[in-house]
Amino acid sequence: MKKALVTIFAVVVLMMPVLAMGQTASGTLAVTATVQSSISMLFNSNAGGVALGNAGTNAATLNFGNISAYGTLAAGVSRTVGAANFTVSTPFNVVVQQANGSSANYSLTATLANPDALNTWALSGTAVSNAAPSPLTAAGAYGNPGTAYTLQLTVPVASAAGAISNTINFAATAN
Amino acid sequence: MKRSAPCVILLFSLVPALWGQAGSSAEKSGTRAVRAKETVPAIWVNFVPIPSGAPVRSAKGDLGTLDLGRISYMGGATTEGVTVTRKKKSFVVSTLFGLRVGSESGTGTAKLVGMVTEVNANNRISVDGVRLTLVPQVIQMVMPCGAVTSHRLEIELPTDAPDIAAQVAQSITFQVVAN
Repeated sequence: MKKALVTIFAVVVLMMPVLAMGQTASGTLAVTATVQSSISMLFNSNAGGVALGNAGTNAATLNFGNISAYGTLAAGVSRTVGAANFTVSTPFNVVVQQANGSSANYSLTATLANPDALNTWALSGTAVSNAAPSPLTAAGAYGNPGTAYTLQLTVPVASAAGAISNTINFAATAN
Repeated sequence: MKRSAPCVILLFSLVPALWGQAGSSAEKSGTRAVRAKETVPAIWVNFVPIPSGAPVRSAKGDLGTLDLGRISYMGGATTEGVTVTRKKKSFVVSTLFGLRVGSESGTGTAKLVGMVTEVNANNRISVDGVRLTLVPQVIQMVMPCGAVTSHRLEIELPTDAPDIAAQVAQSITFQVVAN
């Protein structure tokens, strides 16, 4: 019995320094952050339209190419010819995405950046000018593939030949 | 037998001191054992800000707070030192913070272990690439005592979690174990 006691004690004593070797300490880091909802917009090419430059970004370019009342047009560009003018049009997609938000849909407006007294600009039948934002939708659906809009440019047949350029600013607002 | 028992106990007490001391005399080893006991340091860990990281505040020695500020998928982060990396359906918020493991001697090394105190299904927390769970995970096997070491905290958040429930508040417990 005494031998057993000695053995037990010896084992305990043996272990003590080993336990002491693994000293520990702890610290707690409280991490906080506030996640805010956000939306993004980008432009994608439409299968039926011209290929956008910088597609997949929010700063894309759309080139109709050479347009005329009667000449050949680029692929993806369609035309209607009236008595005093002709209109070229092509579709493209607007994609609005939401992150960490709870809005069901979004509103979209478009504004022409520079005034154009000669030609007429429209998006899917809605005239776009630089005077005020033109509402395109009040309940756009988030996500891919987005909504197709057709850019329509109407040019008077009496106007002189030359380059036409402008910028359309789109604004999406979460509802 | 009664006389021999204390001797046996004494001998066993010295055995740990003899570990790694091959060739030393018992007397010499005994002296070293006392020294070893004195120099086995009490260790501690605290949080320190580092220049390229988000501001860490140390409330008490072993309690730190790290506010990552406002973050969003599209807008990124507003706090200096905090970055946001966009993925397809989630985004990762990351920053650097400093840890200092201290010991009484100012020397030695320690193992760093980390764990979260609660699991949030909406976010994943990693430190130095090691995903933290409720079970302690080894982050680093050897950390020098006395020096500030830089560590990367990453929190991955899904984009489909609504903002109304996205106030991230998570506690990470770090444990250092002297090597």
